[in-house]
Amino acid sequence: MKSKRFLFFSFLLLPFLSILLIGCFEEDAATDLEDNNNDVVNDSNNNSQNDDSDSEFGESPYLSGMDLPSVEERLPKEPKVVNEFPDHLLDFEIGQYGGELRMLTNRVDDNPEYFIAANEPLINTPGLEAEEFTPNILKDFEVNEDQTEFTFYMREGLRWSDGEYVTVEDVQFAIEDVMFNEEITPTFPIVFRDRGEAEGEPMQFEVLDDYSFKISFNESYGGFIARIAMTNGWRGYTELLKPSHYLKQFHADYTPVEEMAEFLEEEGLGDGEWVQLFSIKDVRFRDLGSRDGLGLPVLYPWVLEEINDGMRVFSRNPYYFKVDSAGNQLPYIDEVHSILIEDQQTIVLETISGGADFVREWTSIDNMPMYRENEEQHGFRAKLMNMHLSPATIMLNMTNEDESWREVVQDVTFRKALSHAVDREEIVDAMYYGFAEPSTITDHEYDVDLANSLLDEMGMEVGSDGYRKTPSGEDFRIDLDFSDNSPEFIPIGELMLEYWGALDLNVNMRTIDYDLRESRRAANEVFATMVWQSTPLWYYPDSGDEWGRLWGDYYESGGTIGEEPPEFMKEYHRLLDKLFTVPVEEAVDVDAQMQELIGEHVLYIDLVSNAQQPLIVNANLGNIPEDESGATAISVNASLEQVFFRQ
Amino acid sequence: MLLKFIGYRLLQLIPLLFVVSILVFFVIQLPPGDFITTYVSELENAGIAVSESHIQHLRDRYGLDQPFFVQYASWVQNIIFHGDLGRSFNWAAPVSEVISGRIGITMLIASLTLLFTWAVALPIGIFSAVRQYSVFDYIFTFIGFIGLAIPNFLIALIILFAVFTTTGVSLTGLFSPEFIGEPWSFAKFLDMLPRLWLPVVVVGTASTAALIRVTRAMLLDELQKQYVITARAKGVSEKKLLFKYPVRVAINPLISTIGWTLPTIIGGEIIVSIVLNLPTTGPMLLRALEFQDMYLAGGFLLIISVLTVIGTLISDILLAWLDPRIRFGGVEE
Repeated sequence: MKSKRFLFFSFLLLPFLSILLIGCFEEDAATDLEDNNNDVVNDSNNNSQNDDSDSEFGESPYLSGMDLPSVEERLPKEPKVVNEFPDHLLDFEIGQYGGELRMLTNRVDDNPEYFIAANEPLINTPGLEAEEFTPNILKDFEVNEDQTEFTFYMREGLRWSDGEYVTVEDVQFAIEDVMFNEEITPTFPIVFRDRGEAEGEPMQFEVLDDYSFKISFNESYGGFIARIAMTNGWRGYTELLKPSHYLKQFHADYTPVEEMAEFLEEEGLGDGEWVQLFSIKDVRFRDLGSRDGLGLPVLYPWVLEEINDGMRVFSRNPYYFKVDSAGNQLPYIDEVHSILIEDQQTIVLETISGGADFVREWTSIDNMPMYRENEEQHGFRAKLMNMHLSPATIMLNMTNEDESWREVVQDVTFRKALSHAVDREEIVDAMYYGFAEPSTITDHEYDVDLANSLLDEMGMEVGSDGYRKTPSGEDFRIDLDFSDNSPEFIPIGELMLEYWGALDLNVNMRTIDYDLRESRRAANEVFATMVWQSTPLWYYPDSGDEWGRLWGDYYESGGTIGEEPPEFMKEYHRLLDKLFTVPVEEAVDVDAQMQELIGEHVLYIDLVSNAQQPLIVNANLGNIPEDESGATAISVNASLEQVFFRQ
Repeated sequence: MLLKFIGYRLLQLIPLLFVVSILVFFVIQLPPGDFITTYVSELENAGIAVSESHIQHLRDRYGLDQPFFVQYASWVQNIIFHGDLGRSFNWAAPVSEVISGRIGITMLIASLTLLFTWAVALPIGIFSAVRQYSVFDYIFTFIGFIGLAIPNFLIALIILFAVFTTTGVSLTGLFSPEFIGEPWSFAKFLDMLPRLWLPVVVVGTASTAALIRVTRAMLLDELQKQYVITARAKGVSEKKLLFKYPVRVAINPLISTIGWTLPTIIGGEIIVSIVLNLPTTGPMLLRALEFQDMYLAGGFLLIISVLTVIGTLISDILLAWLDPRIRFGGVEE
């Protein structure tokens, strides 16, 4: 009897035992992180005090008492005066220091919102508009007349977040010891080859003096500046600039492999696997929030300081190189907290209850009424800004192996018919509440009769089952398979069933898992799909791999795999190559030609353009462009170092 | 006798775990691609160019280029000889570290839920049986069926939304933002208490409802037995009559289900935990499976299978110990 009572009580004790357990593990985790942080702090060589209050530069009170050199010494000789937006997009205001900015993420090791905020390219383009390119981390750059030689000048006195100086040695290390090291980089990156193509020769690199270097190519490569600034994704600076003083301890050319034993073991690597160790420690900027990023000297506005289960803390980089026009060292905001919330709906709830200060990545236009309803009560503003993407585009894979599919889809008349059958006005009203415009890339007139007559003209007759057959009389079906990337995809897909059903076409819609779609795309098994499309950005064109997988392979491999494309696709690829090699001013024209080609051949069915994206910001945040300014939401995201909390 | 029984059951565990581990490893690798392809396609979708070299380093780091059996052999070898479950791709840390960081909170919630379930379900179940077809019985039956029928995560969403619209507070997570990542303190503990009831109640409802039904049915059966009638005829007080034998027999299912409770402690209630944003192991398991984070998922599934086997063993032992009928009946023959 006694023992049974014991059993009963021991169950009651379970919760308390678990609390004890939590305590033990938490302590361990906390000490680990502290160790890592100490490295960063101890490395900084700090002797002088910042007591000169009448300096021409201002600094955050957050840093006082941290035993750092004065702000003049921390800044480069010529700090960068911030220019994240062109004047017509933002009326810049001198901000105030302080505050913690809360951001949300649903990914364990990553926060897209934060990494865009922290992104620091060597050369930037204000407002991400690609209208002009200005030096960012670099002090200046020069391009010769042939567009073959690029000379870069670095900021003297610029320092890594641990206080070490940034010199040309860091560039030399990144290029000679990493990019040209075949063990670390078996395939030399395309961007740094002639013409930015896979067959091009690798660039030549030359150190001029302590603060300048030259990169040259055999042929003119006018798009090079644009490419290292922005195009083909977020580049950051890490390809051309690495903290060599830190990374040399993981590089076999500088440190005997035996001395790395401790690090190798820590990462679970075998003896001699220093290349893997190096690639772990050499954190690419995209992974700047990952565990491996602790202790890495960086140039970002904030430095990863702490990783907890559920939150990442980034605190201000005391050596950040930008100032505002009054000489105040940026960023204004002291800390950024990235909070993990795994469920999308819970993120919405957290957003409308004011649980975040900045939300872009996780907003959707159909939640706009809910944002507006709660904005006043919970102290945020729900803004509508331009979206940098076309939010939904239909792609027909013209190179799918199915013969009857090819017969129909490769005929431009068919693609025109599909485009005319779509009521874009209705999509704009129903999906975007009028906050978008019908896409005009293709002939966008809504005319079902015209569409039907085009199909009749092709010889696609309606069979006994009520569906149109191919001109040679085979069954024909459009399988629209896409992954549920965006809240409007499924309703738009349903509209497509309706529109194309009205043409007596057999259309089938399925939402499939993202990974499955990716692997089917790679295997050329997709028939039709819906994706985000980057058409609004001239510097971010589509390689065509969704609407002609095998043609894309042919282009990218230089003709060794895939299938030879028809003449208009070859023309498209020629323009694509040209886009990256001509100077920026001409590139815009090339892009216009590409758009024309897309429209003429209806390469894909674009639905809406100029869509708006909700941006949720704390009502006290300053230096946020107005809704009507024409700035994109993502460019606000990229300029957070100049955003501040109004007190 | 008992020792032999336990020893025999433990020996059975070895081939069972061997088969389970192969299955687990095989199933995780079934979907096309691997973690790296998922990772790369996600990056490309976000507009990031990924260099071939980087991909190759990742593959080398996790040995993904090797054939299935080589990968399996080295995984098992490390578990047996070094107690090392491998590294999680997604968290970039050893699996044991990743899991242990969350196991405490998970066990806390699971055990509180268990206690909540018993504390609510037993009295109600007994009451409904004793007062069968009374108004209260109908009311609780009704509530019980609703609790069984509505998915837990939906209840969670409804409560979250109701609390938000009435008070403007979002109850997600286990702590207020200012306490996330802080070391444990009394203030943090107090902060957790008002948020803790939500997962406990939400997760508890379905099992409470089920347990009410089971207890009621078992007790009704028992109350009609002759020994009860005899005892009542002899004038034993109603209270003593009820609790001395029928209730004890009726709660047998409670003991026999401990075996299933154990694995749910770390793998259960995934969706509720995701909706409520709880720092428990459930969402971690789901994510590991989604991303083909195979060592983390494999580690989880292995631990869950071990817990299931051990839980069943414990149930068997407890039952044999508590219920003389089982003890004298089964084992010896």
